[in-house]
Amino acid sequence: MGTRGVLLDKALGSVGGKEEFERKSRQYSESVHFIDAGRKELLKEYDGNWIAVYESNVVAHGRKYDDVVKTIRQKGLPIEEIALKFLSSRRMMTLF
Amino acid sequence: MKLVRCSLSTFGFEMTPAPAVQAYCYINRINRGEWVDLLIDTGASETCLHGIYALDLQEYMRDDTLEVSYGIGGIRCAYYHERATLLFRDEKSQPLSRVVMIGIQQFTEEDFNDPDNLEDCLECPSLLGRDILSRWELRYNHQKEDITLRVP
Repeated sequence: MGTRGVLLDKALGSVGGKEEFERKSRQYSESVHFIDAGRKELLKEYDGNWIAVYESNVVAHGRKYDDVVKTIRQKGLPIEEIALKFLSSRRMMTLF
Repeated sequence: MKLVRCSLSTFGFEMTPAPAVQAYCYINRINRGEWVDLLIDTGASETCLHGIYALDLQEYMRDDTLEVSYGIGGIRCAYYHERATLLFRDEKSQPLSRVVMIGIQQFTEEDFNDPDNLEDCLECPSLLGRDILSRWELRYNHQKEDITLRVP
């Protein structure tokens, strides 16, 4: 096996194998899409807040990122799999 | 040809949605991985982690990997570099891997000492840059929300 194969195996091992990769990948993408698709509604409640979404549910929110992370940890949720976004209705020009 | 389906995302901002893709980013040296929402950016020379994705990695970073970069408007910031494996999910739900030297935004002591500034820094999305895009084909039809990465 070449270096690339070894690195792929290690990365897949870190995520829990192929099946877990697929499950976690879907979960994360769906949670990201949940935020985008529901942005208008979510803004009514969470404007100016960080929101944490897991399995398409808002599991934590708050004005400070640290507070949201603390809540996620207290709930024992896997932080590396959670979609975390700062929601803002403030119009801005973004040049990345 | 493999396909990776992408989407349009506002990344939380009030702006025209931008093309986005999700991937698992694993750094072998420190044995850490996380899911990342990446803004697809043909203007970025490298794939890089910003904001919340870079914050927790700071304690593991090595100063001798730091490089200064220049952004839009002449903004200067520094990035650590690590070899990372990015895992994408193709349309058949199979993992598709790419190994890159990923840039990781540096947070300075000044950033940590100014909580308001730090909060602003955390909002910046991570970028999928030309180190990957130059080998793939990006199809981008905003009106039809049809965004795909085609991998030879």
